[in-house]
Amino acid sequence: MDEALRESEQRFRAIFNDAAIGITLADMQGHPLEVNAAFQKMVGYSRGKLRKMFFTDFTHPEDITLDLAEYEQMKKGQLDSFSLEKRYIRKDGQGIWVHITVSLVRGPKREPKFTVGVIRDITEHKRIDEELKLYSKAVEEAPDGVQIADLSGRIIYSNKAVEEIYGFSPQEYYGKDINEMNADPEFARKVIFPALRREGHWSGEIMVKHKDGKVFPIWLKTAMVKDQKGKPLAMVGIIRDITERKILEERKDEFIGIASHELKTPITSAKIFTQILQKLLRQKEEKQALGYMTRIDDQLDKLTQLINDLLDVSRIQAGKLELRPQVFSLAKLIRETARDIQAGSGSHKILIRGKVKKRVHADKNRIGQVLINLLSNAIAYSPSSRRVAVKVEPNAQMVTIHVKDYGVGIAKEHQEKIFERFYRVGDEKTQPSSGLGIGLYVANEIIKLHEGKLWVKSEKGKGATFSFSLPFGKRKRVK
Amino acid sequence: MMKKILIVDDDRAILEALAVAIEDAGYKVATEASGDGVVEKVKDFSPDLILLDFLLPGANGIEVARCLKRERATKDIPVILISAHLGTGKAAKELGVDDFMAKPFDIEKLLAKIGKYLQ
Repeated sequence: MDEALRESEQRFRAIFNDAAIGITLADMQGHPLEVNAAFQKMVGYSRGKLRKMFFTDFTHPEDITLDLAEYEQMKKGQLDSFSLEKRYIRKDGQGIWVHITVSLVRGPKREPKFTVGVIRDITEHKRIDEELKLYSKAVEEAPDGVQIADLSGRIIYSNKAVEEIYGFSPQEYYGKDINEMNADPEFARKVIFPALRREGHWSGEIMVKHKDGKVFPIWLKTAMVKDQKGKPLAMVGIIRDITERKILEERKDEFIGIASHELKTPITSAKIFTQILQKLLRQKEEKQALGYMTRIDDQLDKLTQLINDLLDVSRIQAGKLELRPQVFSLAKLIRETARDIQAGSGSHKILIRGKVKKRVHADKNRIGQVLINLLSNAIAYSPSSRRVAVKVEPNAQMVTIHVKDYGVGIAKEHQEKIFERFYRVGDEKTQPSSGLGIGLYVANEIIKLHEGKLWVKSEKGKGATFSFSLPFGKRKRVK
Repeated sequence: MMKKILIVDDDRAILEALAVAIEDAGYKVATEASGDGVVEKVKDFSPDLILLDFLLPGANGIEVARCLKRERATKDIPVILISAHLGTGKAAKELGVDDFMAKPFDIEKLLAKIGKYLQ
């Protein structure tokens, strides 16, 4: 009997001592009698120290009164157990959060005798909890719309901004197919979802529907949410209403349209008067004055070109640059353009090598514009040279035109950027002429619209070769 | 007999410049600055060709052209649209005019075009 009791006693002591959770036995005055190792570790006091203390000694001052009422009831034998969360102050001064369950142990006459406390350190849980609360609050209050959909496209979360943007409440949203919001569901099915599956993200402008039926533009940035192993979990989208921006952009485009029209009107009459004067001066054989007049006429053309470039940039940005394709002889266009540019330059000779017999189906004016741009750049950036070489290289599908100059060249770091809008090579020494920095940008966009490519090969000081490829286009004809 | 050309543009300087250059080239010229006055002017002047600005106060150039091309008496008069809007170029035929010239232009090129219609 004694043996069995001792064995049982040992077993319980082992549980008490080795438990990963804090266990205490206290008298009814709140005085710890027994504390296990886990509890000692939790509060940082030794068993000996704790025995001389009250629980209130290491409870956060603000939390001491939290369970006073329950404790009083327990002392009277009216309550058998309660639990709560409170803060302790460890011996080292650090505060921790604990979850405590206090149970009453009664004596033989059912009188309250001891309390058993089971204490869990929940500091880390609390921290994670607080963090999650902060994150979800931040997403909820984010100034852009945030929407989460499951992999089948059902909306499982919408923040406040989404509600403001679309007019639906988050409850009305929940479970809805995300495509119901899209004015063009086909686009999402054919473009956005495949891109998400393939690349994990997509962004762009789309048209969506407001609760009141109004269709409006948003900027959507969406990504696949994945677990650590890369398995897709959900889709998240950031949404911004761009109605205002669109209106401003349209107004700006409209303004540029009107401004360029207004600018061209006085140029038109100035050019006519200039040409009338040129004619008069020619008749009177006033050679010097005629020369000056011709210069004015050329400058008016330059001014017109600048205005047209500005218009083009505005059109490209608005996605309104349209091609007017026709079938024409590229060889003839190159010849004529080269002749015009050479006549205007006086300093350079343009040599053409190679032939293309097959006619192209393309926008003649626009391709002419690209040629003018490349040829005049070649001349402008090779002031100490006397020639520009054009090479024509056709194959079965396309023709490639190379325009080579023997001038200042382009440093590596500029080569990518020269096709960007408003980019100008910022080197005063090699910057012979001014410009808006849009010529190559427009040329590149024109070639891209023709499904061709424009590129440059150059070394600083060793000239540059600009090349573009141009597919023959749909209507192939052999002359 | 001298061929007659009606120039329609709301910009006085352009009207004046064109009138000088075109008279100088041997044509008889009348000018009109508003879209609404064109039909009346065509009746009085009976031009052999019309140079028509695209944007006009009152009826715009396209409406005017449509109006002229509808009338039996005026439908055969060649109309050349002159416009600072590059975009109107390709559509000249669709718009129901005979030809198009983008502003600003070389006066010699315009005269060549006019000559082509008045051969």
